[in-house]
Amino acid sequence: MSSTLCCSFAKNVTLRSSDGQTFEVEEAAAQVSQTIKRMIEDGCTGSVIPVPNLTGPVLALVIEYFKKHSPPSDGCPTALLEMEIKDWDAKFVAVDNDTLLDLTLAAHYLEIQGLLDLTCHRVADILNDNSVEKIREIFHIKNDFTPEEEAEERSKIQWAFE
Amino acid sequence: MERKREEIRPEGSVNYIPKYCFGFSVPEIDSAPVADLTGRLPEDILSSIISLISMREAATTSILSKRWRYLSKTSSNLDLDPKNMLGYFLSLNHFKSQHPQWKEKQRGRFVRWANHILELYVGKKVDSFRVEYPLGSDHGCDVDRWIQFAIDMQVQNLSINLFEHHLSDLSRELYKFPYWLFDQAGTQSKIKHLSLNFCSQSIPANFNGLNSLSSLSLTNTSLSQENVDNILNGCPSLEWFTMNKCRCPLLLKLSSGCRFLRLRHLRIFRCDPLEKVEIHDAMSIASIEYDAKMFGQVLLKNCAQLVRICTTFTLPNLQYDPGTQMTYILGTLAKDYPLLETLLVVIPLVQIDIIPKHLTTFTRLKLLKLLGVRFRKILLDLTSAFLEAAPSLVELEMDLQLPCTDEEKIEHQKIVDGADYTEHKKIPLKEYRQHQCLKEVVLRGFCGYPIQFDLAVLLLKNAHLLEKMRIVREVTVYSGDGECLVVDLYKDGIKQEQILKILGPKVPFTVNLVLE
Repeated sequence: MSSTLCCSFAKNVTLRSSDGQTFEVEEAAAQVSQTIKRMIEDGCTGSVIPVPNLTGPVLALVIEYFKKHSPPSDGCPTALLEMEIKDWDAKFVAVDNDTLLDLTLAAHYLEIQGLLDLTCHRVADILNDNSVEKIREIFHIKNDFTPEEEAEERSKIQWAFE
Repeated sequence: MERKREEIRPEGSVNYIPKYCFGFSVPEIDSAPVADLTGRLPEDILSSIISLISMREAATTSILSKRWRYLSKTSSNLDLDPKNMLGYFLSLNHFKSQHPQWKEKQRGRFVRWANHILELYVGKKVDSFRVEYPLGSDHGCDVDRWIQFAIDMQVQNLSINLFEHHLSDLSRELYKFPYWLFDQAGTQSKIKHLSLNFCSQSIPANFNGLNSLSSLSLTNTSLSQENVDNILNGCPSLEWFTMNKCRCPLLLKLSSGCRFLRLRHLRIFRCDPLEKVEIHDAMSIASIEYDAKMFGQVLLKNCAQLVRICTTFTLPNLQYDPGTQMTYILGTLAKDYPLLETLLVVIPLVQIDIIPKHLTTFTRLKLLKLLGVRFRKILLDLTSAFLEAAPSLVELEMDLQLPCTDEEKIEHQKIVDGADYTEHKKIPLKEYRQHQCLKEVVLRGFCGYPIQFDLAVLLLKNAHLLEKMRIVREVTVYSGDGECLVVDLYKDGIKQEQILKILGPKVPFTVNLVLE
């Protein structure tokens, strides 16, 4: 798999990450991002499009997502294709937590609603399935309450522990 | 056989780990203390994540850290129900059988909890607000205040479900839904979807507090002609209107005096003693859901032609006979509604043993769903009759909840245990008409009964353009307005490998067989 692999006829754009890595991607695929779509419409295609909020590895992942989610050239997606994409999506966000939050932020910056929904649901699942202590551990959340404050906060939500 | 399995579960990228694509490596998290990962996410994202989890789980996140303290109190979905309060579902049957004092204590507990949640709430906007608990008019003031809260929070989706038991054995007074609160809010009310269960309806004449309302669902209440007139006059944007188990007069007229109705979808389900419905000036109406006992009694005057019908068979009694209802569907429905494209037929607990001889053609029907199918003896013949009556059909979905005889149970067990099933070779395929349009078939509730294999084989052999057949173990229960509940009735049913062993050799290479 190579980042510079491109089809002979499709129009491409080049994206540059915060650490200076460049990626070539089909214009139609990159327009999955509303932010990039607007930039292309504003005539940024000739030059390199900077994506300053994303590091190279994260941008690479996002481009993978673009490719899978770009509109099919021959009209409507079939039901089978949709199911396959759903499967692919589930695997795509089965990453370490750091990368997961990187992807969430990237989806937010680049306005990729599908990816934002996907990553938010994944984070929500983690919150749903784990105890408070475990969630702190997973996301490295520091408990900055004083014992008194925590006790007060706990008393307000005592019902949720019953 | 192995090759076929691959087709069933396309796993082109099984070992695909996005982290390693392009040969980049993502830095490992080292063991030294690292910064809060969620610290990078803006609050609105965290808030929308919180809105995705249940209120109970969300509440516990408030003790993660100071930053999280208020997040759970900004969720845009508030679900005040027993599941969130207690952590488990409330059994209404259990509740019903308890001592009145106990019930009152539980109601008091729920009300205090709900008040507590709303007091702590610090968000600015609530999209969806739902209350579900058996409360009556005694707690009316509390429920009124919750609804006022929801209006202040610009709620779009409001659902009040105070259901306790059937309307007919009602001893308590129903909660009176406070329409006047919306009148006060005037044009500020943003509410789009309103769903009320067990609330009495007294919408005033000349009411205009629900200008943006596009869907209204009323369940377990009494509705007079005047109520309906006031609703249709007072909600000019209403597109979806549902009446479930409402006590209605014999005849209901749906019209709005001088102007056209915006109504697109109407559901009338088990409303007694209602027999006849007239709809006037609904130029956008496209879909109706109604009981089979009302066949021929839904009159459209100066209305658009229906493209979608869903009908539920009425339980057989002296007055209504399922056979007559099936005869209407196959013999007359297509004449009454010639533009029909989608037809759903829900057949709960009904046995049918005759097939109407006279069929009329649904010239435009594309999608047919037969749900809750129990007629085992005539399954193949009836399916075939529907296919004959709908020559343009593209998609067929059948939900098979078949009862079976002891003899069949033995046969079924043999198949589940791995015996080969060859009886289907005896189906006289030539006696059934072939179909030239059908592309997709979904068979639900597939647990390995011989007749189910027969049906699958019949469709595989006789539908020439078939592209896909989905065989699903779960059954669906249609809950109305396009929504279904999925129920896994046949957990101990047949294994997918066994289905594949029997059906695999029958699947033409042009058909994609999907097992779920």
